[in-house]
Amino acid sequence: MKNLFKKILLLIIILITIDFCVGLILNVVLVNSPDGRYFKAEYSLGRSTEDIIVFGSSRAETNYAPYIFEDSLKLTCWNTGRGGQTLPFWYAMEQGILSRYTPKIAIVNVERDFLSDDLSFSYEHSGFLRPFYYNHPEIRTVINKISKFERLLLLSKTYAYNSSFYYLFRPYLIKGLDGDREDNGWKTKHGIIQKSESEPQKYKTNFKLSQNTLELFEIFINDLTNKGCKVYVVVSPNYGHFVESTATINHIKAMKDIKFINFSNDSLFIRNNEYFKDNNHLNVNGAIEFSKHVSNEILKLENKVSTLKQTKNIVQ
Amino acid sequence: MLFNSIDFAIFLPIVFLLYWFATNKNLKLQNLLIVFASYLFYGWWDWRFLFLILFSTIIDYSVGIRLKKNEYKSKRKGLLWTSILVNLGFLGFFKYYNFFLDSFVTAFSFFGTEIQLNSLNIILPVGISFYTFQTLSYTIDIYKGKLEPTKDFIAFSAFVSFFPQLVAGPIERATNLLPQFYIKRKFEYENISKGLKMMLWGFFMKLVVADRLSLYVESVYGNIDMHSGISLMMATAFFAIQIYCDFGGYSLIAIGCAKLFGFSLMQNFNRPYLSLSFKEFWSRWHISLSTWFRDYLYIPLGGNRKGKIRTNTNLLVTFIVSGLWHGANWTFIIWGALHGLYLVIEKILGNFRIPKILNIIFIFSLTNFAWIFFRASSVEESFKIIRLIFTSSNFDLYIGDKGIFSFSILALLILFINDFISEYYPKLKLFENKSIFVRYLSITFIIIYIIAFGVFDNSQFIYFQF
Repeated sequence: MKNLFKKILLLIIILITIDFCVGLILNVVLVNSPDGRYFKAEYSLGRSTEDIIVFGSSRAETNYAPYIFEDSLKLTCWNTGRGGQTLPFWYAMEQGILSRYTPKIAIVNVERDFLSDDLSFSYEHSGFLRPFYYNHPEIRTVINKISKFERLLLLSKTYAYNSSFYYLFRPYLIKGLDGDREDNGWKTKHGIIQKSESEPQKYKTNFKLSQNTLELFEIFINDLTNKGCKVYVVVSPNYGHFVESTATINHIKAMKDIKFINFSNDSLFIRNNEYFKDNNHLNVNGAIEFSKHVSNEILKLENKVSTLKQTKNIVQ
Repeated sequence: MLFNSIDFAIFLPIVFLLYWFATNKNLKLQNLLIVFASYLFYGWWDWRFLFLILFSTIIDYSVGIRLKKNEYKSKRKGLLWTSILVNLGFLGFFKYYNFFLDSFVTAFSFFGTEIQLNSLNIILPVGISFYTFQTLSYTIDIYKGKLEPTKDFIAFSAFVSFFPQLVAGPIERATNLLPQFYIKRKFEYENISKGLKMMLWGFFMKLVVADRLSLYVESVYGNIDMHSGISLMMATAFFAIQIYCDFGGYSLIAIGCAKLFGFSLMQNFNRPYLSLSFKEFWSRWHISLSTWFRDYLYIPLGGNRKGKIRTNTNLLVTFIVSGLWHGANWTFIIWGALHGLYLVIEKILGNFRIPKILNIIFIFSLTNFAWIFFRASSVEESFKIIRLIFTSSNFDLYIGDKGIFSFSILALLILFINDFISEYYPKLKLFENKSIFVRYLSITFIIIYIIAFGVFDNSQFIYFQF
């Protein structure tokens, strides 16, 4: 019996030592990441100082070109958007940023029905943030919700990097696959979707809002506005769809302290395949045009002079 | 309770310590602890179904004793049928009621008669197919005079509910497992060390290989219309490995876990994809079930003693029933029938002399073909997949998330190396290596690998649903 416990103890000591060393090495790999998704998240959480911050998922990441906002609003801009992530990730990014400074403007790209989506699945996706658990205590509330034993599992430094290796090491070999570093978080998409011969389809839903999503979204917005950050909530266009109404959009329209910009039914975009890579994501030209229009709307809402002649073309 | 959960990681050491430190001086107390721990283990999932296990235990215990006392053939037969009907009755109701009802309605509508029968919203108790077969083997063996009934109710309860193999086997025979509850278990370092190593490799198979591959399989099989024939082929091959690692992993954890308590369970998987024939495949795949069907169905049907035609019919019937055992769906029946057919054709044609590697690939490919039916949600979907595989002109291979895909390939490589070494160079086995350095290095590597690449989402084992 003694023999067993002695050997188990020895194995545990070896494991703890290796786990600690592996964690240490991987942390160096993480903080020195030359570009890619881990560089972007690390920069967003720990080093960003820009005046304008874009929050959102893949459509935020691809549709908002920071340099356009910088040119027209004369403020610096950083895009924190990340594909496959939703509200818990935006909240984590926000907490990392607000723990250091308050941006002047926050642009939050939302999906037309996102307040009806349940959060439980979104937290699973936030596993992407595990490597930041130790360096960024402000986001632990998000990571701890991934599973009930997450805190316990994260005692292992190696576990924090579970399944992250491919995207962690890839930028050291191939650069720019998750967007060029000089594009400030913007991930450009190239290519054009095939033109649709039919008229844009009407999109109208009235899904019940998810209580936990709604609560987190309100906390997310309040944390920004309470610190004096102006919040613009934007709905991006989808090719071939015009959104008549959704419970999410109706709710956001009624929200105080934020300004709502809706491009989900703008005919300049929804009819123009030249601007889209696929049904949901704008290509590089579409993103530049869209960013110009969003910044134009912000200027108008700020009662400043717009340099853009084109305004929104609403489909009726 | 799942083996791949934190709950189990807390449960196991507590039971282990109580077993070897608090109850080790009293065999009855040790058995009682096993019963209590097993009921807790099962009840963690749904305590209501504990009554089913308890009822099965009481019935078979009583039938066993009465079988011994009774010498009249008709009464003995009656007792045996009581046990069979109660056990299969539960299984039939919980597992097959809706299936037979739907099939009945469909059959009538095929002949133009519409009948209205309402299906029931029945929860399938986890592991019912496993413990039902285990207890059935007890009464059948007593009836046949191969086994003496036990008078020790606690030992019998522990045999029926023994937590390492309660929910997904190996389906133990009473002749092997039950006597182990009568004798005092000794704490043997070698045994426990071996058990822990088996569990470790089982966890690797489940968390690193099976659950990782399932992400790819799920995304392809979940949306077959969006994928090319080559992607469907890849997903099917991945599923073949996934189900092997899922169930083989579970079995290893179960056998290893039993070793921690001084019990020896039968081997359930033996690198089945290195088989050179279907006969060999079924002596390496889910061994406890295939031998169960051999002993309690194939041989009673006449086995190979009544001529070639009868032998082949018996084989087909056995494999169709084995398919049905896996699930209440025509897809499983076709899967079973295909394997039965493979064996019949193999018997008729005999062995061909082809290079070993080609032979292995040939058997693996045909096994994969059968897995399509096993994995698809319906017969129609199975045929659609087969059509797409053979006729699709789209040769784009879906990779999905490159991280998931590359980890899957890496895990497969490690699994292949291990199985290859275990099969052809057993002396080189890393966990059992003579060098302490190699042993510690390999164990540490696998633990760190599981932590770094495992999927920790408490996913169920595939065979729980059977």
